[in-house]
Amino acid sequence: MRYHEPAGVQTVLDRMLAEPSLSSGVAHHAHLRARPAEFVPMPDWLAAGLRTGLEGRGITALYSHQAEAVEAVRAGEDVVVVTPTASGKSLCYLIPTLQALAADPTARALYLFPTKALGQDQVAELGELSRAAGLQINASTYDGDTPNPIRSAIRSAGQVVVTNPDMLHAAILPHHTKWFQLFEQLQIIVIDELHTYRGLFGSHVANVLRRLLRICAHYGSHPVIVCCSATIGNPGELAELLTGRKARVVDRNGAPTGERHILMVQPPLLDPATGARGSAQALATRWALPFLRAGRQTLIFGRSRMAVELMLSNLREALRLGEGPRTRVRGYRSGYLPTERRAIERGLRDGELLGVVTTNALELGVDVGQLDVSILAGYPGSIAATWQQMGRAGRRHDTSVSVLIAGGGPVDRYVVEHPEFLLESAPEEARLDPDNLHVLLGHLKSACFELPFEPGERFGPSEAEPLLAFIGEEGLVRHAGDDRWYWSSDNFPASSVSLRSAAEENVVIIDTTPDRPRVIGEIDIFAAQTLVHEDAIYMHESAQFHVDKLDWDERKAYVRRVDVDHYTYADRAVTLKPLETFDTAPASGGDRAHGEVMVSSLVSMFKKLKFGTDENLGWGPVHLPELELQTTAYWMMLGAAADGWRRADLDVALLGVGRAIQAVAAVLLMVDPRDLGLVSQVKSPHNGSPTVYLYETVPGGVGLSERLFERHDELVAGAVELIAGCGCASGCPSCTGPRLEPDVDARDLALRLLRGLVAEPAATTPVAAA
Amino acid sequence: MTIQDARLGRRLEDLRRGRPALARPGSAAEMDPEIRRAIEAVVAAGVPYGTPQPVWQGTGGLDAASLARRMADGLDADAVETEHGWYVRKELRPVYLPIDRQRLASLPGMPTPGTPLLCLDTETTGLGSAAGTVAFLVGIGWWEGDRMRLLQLLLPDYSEEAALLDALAAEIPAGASLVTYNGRSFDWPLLETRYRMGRRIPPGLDGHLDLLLLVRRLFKHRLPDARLQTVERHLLRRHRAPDIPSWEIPAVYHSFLRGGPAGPVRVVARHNAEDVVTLGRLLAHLERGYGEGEVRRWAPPGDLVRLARLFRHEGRVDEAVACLEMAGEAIDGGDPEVALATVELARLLRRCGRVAEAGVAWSRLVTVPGPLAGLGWIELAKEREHRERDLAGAWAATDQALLALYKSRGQGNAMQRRALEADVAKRRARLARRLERAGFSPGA
Repeated sequence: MRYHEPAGVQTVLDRMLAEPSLSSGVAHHAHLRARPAEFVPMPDWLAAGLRTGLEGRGITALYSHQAEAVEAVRAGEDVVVVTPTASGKSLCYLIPTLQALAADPTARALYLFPTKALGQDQVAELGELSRAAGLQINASTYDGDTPNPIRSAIRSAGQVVVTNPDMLHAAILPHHTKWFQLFEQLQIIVIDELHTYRGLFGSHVANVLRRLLRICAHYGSHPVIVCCSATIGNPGELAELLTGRKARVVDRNGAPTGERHILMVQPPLLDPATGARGSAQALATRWALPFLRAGRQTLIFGRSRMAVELMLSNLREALRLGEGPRTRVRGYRSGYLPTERRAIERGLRDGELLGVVTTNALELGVDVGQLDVSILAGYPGSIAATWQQMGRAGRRHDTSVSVLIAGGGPVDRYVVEHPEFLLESAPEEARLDPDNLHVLLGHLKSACFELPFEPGERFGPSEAEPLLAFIGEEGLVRHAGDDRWYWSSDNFPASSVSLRSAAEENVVIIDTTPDRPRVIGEIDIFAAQTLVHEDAIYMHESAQFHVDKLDWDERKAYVRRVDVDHYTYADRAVTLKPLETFDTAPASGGDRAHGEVMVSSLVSMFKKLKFGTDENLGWGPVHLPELELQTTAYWMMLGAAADGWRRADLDVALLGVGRAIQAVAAVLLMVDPRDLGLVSQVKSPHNGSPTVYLYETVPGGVGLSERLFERHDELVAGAVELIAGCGCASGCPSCTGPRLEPDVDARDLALRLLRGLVAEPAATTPVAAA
Repeated sequence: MTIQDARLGRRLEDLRRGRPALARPGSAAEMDPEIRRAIEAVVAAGVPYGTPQPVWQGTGGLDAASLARRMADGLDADAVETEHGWYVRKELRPVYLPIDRQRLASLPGMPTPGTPLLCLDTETTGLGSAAGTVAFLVGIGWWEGDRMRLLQLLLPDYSEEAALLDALAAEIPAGASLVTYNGRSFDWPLLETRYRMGRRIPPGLDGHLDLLLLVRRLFKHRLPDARLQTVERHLLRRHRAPDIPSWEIPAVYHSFLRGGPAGPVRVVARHNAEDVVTLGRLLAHLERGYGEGEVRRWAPPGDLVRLARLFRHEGRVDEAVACLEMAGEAIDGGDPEVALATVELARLLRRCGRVAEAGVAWSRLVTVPGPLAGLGWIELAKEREHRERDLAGAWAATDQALLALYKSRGQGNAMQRRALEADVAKRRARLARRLERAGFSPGA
């Protein structure tokens, strides 16, 4: 194959599929045909200027979903628009906004985006469209970067205010009296990237929206809410959980799509005995190279920051040897500084950059234009995310290719072996719990700060009174003689609640190599414990840094450039203690339960691993404080099923069963596997029985545990299927997890234990026959 | 799981157990005995330092009317009932504080003599002007003849705010100008927030004189900080009796609401009244010390330099010049502020084309010790070179400039002096060329 020969996507793909070493791994190849657009004429009620403006930008008719959405908003209905990337979702709210402002310049709209960058793109688009329509629209982003003198102008005169939930929470709602022009005239609230408001963040945002609607009611406005979402299974439910109101679901996509190929690739099983498979990252580089050399814009998604850095350096090395466009390939992830990221986005848009290796940081609607190829090294953890990442490739009138390469985990294997899961069945449901008590109490304080509570007033599903009384014990609120509840403290409650995580702070990474030390990035404190502990090798832009010092109290890591042949890997040890059992029920072979638990995690050592071979070169200690997490968990306690087992065997079997159940749970409940943590205890100090816990990694939980408890039988049945269906000899990372002891048949042990738990009368008899 | 769940009570109980003890802000150890007594009364009330009291269970005996009466009794004030609730009204003895409004108005940024002035200061339940902070005490002061009348409006409970706001609005005369300390960024936005919260339009004002801004511009160069009590001590030379630290004020109020004694609120009210009177005294101080006429001559030259800047900003050049001339009179005294005044005077005069007068000012400057004499010589060199076409005289002036800079080494701002030295060097190089062309030998 000749290097750097410009070629079409189809040509490159055909050439690659002719290569047996690549094509043999393709488990499924879906060829989606191009689809024409479904147009609907412009509605006749549209303001004349707006119509001309749209026409001037080449929009003479609406896609069917756009028309449905704008008509519904006009009728005062809340809407949630669920169509793929690049289907013109933003017009669904831009048109109603401009129409409202054309009719009445005192009208106001509030746009919420999960991140700052997304909001800035939208302000630009709104500006262009309103200029084309001959309207003078004052649209501005209001975020942490907005300069002070401009802020007061936006407060009083901003017709479209673009912000993020964090600003709304901490800066706008507590100061609502200074925004009275906005709240009195608020007609449209836009919540874009709805699917990102899941889990803990979603639970927080749901409460921020409760506060927002409460303030609107105070000022007498009744805004319509327009939500836009990537494809998820329960958009209507999510919108309702988030906003507390029913929304009309608009999900029939009328936008055209080009031809596309979707390939699902399984890395080869190298050694059935150990279950060792080729690495998804190595395979992703192999799939990416021919496209890059043919000048096709390619995005490569890695699952972790580390994976991104490894793939980036491998790609650059390969392109250097093959004299490819090495300098046109960059990395992009959350540790990079904003200016660096903006430059990369721009490079992708104008075609200056050919390839970008990224984490899910590029998954959301950051505007990078449409590209030719997307390659996913590992299942991103959810179907919605998979479609978002794949959707980055897809020109409207041209062929595009998306490749999903399974990683080592069982979930990955399941998804790649069951393509219908991705291509046919509804993708997963986004879950959140707006009534998570930790979250709700925090926002109730802010709500009371913002406006006194009326007697009998509700906050969310129930009356606020008992919770206000609870807060009142700390002296924060006061039940006055008129029966209202007033904030009565000099605290500013919004400052003690962070929407993004339980961990409020980040660790700043400082490079001391240059004369003037500079900040090269920051990471949250959980990640910091495994990535920038002392003596770790931290990777940034495929450069290696040695961590000389981690000042935990100051949240600063001091690093220095090095060039070594190894990387480091730190594991965290997790212990779990149940605090309260909410419910318990008998299950076959034992009992199941769910409740509240305290999880402590401690990083105590790290390993040095050689590049390429992952050979263990030594280890070192980590001295960092324990982090604690109070959350909800589901657990199963083994009774009869564990009778007659040797302790050592049971230990291996429990872990294998736990891993399989964890994988199945992620699939069944359609959540990111990382949202669930696993702890197995061969003799639990709390109940005396062998126990497997699955806990939610979000403080307080978002309701997953209860669902796991309800679906216990399915979990067990699925785990049996997962392990029995694996091609390995005696347990592997794709079923029972990495093997710890080479002579033990983890696969067989786990299967034996599971058979004792399957909910069939026959299976409750001891498996002595095995 | 919803919060209606029967588990809620139990879960709240768990949270209650895990709750950290309420932290005590700061230390009261080094305070005056009287403050400590006031604070101790707060502590004795149990909150917020003692065991949290379940306040929601009964407001029995603590309804607005009885709170208003208790507060009024404790403060020797009147509890007033209105259709929107109760407030407490305390009229204080008027203070003799004559102000010549004509002369006050001669100062930059001051309201016209006919504008009613209203001094105002609030005590609040927290910092910032966000929606959850309430002004529980608003003190106002205005003039009737030579006397300053003082009135305080207090909030007997959160629920009664509408009554207080309406009463306050009624006390603000039409076309009044507010006089505050940091009121532009705190007190007034906070009150505006309160009126908006009560779905009311904030009272209209004809102006707002924030004395903090004025104090910063006029006196910051000689004050350790710009807090009102610092101003009181250093400018007005008044020493306040032991007073409550402001971070304790919200706790005092909350303690009263929970059934604590009214005594500490009285301490807060006294603090507030002193602050309001201080606003009036500060106005009088400005009028008497800096107003039009001969009194200004006694003002420190540094203050006059700043006052001149304020006049200049308003385009009142003649008054600026007058201030600077006054400030520059004692030029031989060695006061750096006097030299500064002379520099500013010379620059100002040059800018408005009064070149000859500027020259006089520059030549006055060369007599002062210190690096500014160098600046004076440089300016004289410019004048001789460009206007008088006296190259030799200019050269001689640069000699003097170098000498002055050399003699004053180690004094003044190092960066400024380096810039002056560079300026002289450049000027001499050019003068040397021009002199040579004209047939002179500069070395001679």
